[in-house]
Amino acid sequence: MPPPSDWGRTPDSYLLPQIVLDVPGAGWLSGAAVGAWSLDRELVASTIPGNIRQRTGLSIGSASVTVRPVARSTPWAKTPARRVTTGIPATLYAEDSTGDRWPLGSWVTDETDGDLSGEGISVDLLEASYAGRDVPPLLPAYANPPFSAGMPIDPVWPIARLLEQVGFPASPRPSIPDAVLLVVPMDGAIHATAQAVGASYVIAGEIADGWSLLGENGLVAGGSGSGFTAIAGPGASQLPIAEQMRGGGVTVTLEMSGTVWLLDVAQGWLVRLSEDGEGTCSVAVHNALGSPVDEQTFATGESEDWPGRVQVQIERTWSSLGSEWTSTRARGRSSLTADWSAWSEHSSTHSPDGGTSLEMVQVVGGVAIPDTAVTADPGRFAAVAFTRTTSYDGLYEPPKAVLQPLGGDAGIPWAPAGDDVWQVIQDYASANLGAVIIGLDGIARVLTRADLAGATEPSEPLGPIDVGAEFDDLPWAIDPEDSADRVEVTYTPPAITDADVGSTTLAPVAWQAEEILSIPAGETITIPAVFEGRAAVGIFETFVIPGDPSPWWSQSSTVIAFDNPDAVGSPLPESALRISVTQTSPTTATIKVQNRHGATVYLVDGNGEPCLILRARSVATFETPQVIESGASKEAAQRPLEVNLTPWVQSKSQAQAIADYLWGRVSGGGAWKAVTVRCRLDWSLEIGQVRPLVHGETDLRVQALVTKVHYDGSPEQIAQSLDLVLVPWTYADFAAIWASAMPGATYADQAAAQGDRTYADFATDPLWTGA
Amino acid sequence: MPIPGPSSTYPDVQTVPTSSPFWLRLNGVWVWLEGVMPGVGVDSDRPGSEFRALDGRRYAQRAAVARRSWSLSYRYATPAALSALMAATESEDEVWLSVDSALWSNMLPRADSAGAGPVVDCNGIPLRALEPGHVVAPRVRAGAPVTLSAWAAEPGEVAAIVGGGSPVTLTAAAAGRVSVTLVPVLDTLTVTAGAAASAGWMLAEGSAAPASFEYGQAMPCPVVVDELDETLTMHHDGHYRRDYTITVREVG
Repeated sequence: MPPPSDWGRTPDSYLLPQIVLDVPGAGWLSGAAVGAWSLDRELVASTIPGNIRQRTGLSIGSASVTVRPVARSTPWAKTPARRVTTGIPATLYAEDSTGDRWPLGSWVTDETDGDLSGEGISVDLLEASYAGRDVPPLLPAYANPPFSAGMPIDPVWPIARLLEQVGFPASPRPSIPDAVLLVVPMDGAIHATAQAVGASYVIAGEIADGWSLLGENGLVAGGSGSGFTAIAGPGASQLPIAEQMRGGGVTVTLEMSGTVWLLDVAQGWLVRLSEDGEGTCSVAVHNALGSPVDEQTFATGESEDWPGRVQVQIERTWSSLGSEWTSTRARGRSSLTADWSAWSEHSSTHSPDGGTSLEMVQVVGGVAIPDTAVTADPGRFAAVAFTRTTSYDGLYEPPKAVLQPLGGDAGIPWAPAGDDVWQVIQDYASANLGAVIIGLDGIARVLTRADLAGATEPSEPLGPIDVGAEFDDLPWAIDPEDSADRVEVTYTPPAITDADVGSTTLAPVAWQAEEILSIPAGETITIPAVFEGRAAVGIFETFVIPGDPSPWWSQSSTVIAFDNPDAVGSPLPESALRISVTQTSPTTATIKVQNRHGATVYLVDGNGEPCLILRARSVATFETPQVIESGASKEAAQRPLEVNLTPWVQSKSQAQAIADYLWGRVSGGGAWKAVTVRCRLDWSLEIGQVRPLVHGETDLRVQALVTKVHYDGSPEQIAQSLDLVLVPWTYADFAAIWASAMPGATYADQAAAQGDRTYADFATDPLWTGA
Repeated sequence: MPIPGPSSTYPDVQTVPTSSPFWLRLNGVWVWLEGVMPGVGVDSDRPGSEFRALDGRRYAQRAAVARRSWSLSYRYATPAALSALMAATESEDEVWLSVDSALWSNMLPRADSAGAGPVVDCNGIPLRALEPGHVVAPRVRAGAPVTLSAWAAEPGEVAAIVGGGSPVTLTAAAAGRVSVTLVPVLDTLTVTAGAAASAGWMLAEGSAAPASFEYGQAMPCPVVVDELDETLTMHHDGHYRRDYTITVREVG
């Protein structure tokens, strides 16, 4: 549930809300009223030391609350519900006298302490997303195309996939699994989801120019007018069919259609939902041969009661005996108040269990996705759903991530084995000088470096802060550590080796066993294969014993087995082993080897070396770092800044853009910050926000990035304080605003429009974009 | 030196009680606190703070509820009153305090007399209506008749009351003051606001509504009874008298 909109800046006189710790199912901690409490959320610098102009990277919140215990709520309490335990999921919220709640985050209980004479128990809290995690990142590894094809991927793509893995999907998840046929999110690089409904349903789509779709087995379609079809068959509960990777910059149209094969459905509604798009939909009943009958069209468009949605009603009429239907008909409309289209009707007589006697109903419509959709709010999506009730409001759980492209090309998706999934998410974000922040509302947001520098306008401007009226002071500091006279950015381009399809050249190695594996008779061993320092795509799942050179075994994985560790005698036949392999990410796979031989088997070649080799269609290694230098020479530099972007940044253009941006930030030397600024309580203040600060008496007018929000609460007060990084404007910001205000304009155009305004004008009114 | 014997054969507590408006509910039974001295001080405490901005503006934060303390004094304490108070200091069960003046004016919590709805004229006092469905659970004294009254802005159901035997509905035939009397069978009522907008809710003991609106006094209320402060006084004939001061603090 979103926070109430009227919980922003508090009035001059304000009744304090009750802070509540809710630990569901934990006895006395369920809905416990909190006495003293504190909460910290901070944007922590990672790529850039200090607080230069912006901070990047992760935020791990921490909190502590004091709650009133019930009697004998001690670690040695005999009643389990009264025991104080750690590691329990908890939520924290503020609740006012009307019952309105303001979320204060999801947490996990950590250290808990109390005493026998005091009245409270103190519970430390860790931000739930990070607490005690060690979850392997599961980036998808496609079989196609090879790395060398160079399909560009925005860095937000791996972030989106990993966010989804940890429960922050950017596209709405069906809450009624059987109801949703297809969901296509419109806010960037995320995947569509198809659902199986009943016994057999067909989903078809058409890809417009600017989009490319990846299926489970690689590229499905790309380019204007390419079509795709996926069939969700019986037993498939969720079938990912399409992956969109788009850098933005073009307006595209996604044609979607949903088709319902009617089996035992007497009536229902096929619904197309979208946040965008006007045009024409059609509805048609198809006969058992698949041909449309009596197609009816109707217009879609904006309507206040039903924006962006259409409804198709499907009915069957039954014979008087009730055992067979005599006709199937469907009609559509785009609003609850709009007129229905005429019925598309097909009359025939069928038995419900007639097997081949099926009709299908199809709804087809175009969805225009403008550029702005790339940075859309949660909930922008198009979907086709089928439901037997007229209410479809509950078909989706709200999205939990807001994405936007970070810019550039992420290169080969990379997720080092051994890193926690959140670590990989933050590494991608911070390497690109952006941030991924989980808001107190539970929504994960991707912020670009332009966002953090205040160079983009938020969708809902939060307005300036009057320092004199809102802060108790503005203590400022300029720290020499926040500037640099030399920047050294290191990145590593991948060395890609592709299998030479059709040749006898051995395919590249993704992984190989480093010791001789022995498998007792009849047993199965599972090997977690971690590709050290390399990524692979298109793992060859078939293991063969090398023989005469041939394309077959050259492009297979390799295994040699003996019945003794010294490789005496002849190798065992392939039938002695059953091997399966599952690639879990570009850098990991799981191999299972079953011994079907009558005795212990040793995976060793004729030279006594280990021999279980995983080969792939394409393997990338990162072995040759490249360095981009800016500023003073290495010898002359007094305050050098070294940043290693390996392997998150893999292309020279991407690294150069980041190096230029970094140099612009650290070379000026004019950045300053304000720490622990006590302010009037404003619940809407959040890390990552860039707010204009104004103070008439001192002529202050500057943008400030909120890097820390601290709450200190008690029954008497809720004290809020902020850490701020002040972001003076540079020419790069000036140019970016012009580029945004006048896309495609030349310098001459900008100079003409600028008139007599100077850079100084922008320094005092940085949001001015008009001529 | 011989050990002195009893200095007095007179009882050292008062045997003739004075009038007092105070009651304690101990273990489910109401006990009259006889003999309390007139002039009881009532302190009300609401935690709060202020924040001063750079330009001098003041912003105030206040806790959502205030809590009261009563300082009771005894010149002559009866055995019954003393026993009740001492039992209260030892009690692990919830102890309630009741003051007659509050019972006769408005027993509801202050926040439940009015809400955030449209403004209703309550005999010249403009108050906002309670939201339909708003639930109040006032403490009462079982067996003592109470009257619930309100100013309705329109005809319709003003409130539904549970706890007086059969459920009772307070209905307004037209805009204006309405009331209903019932006898609680439990020590708590449950009153739910109806669809008709109303404000100025009052609950008072007796069979008639008070003439004018007075904000809720939240009475009876749960309290904690602090230890008794005792002063020994020797009289001219060798008799002793004990005076007491007790602080009773509202909790919850």
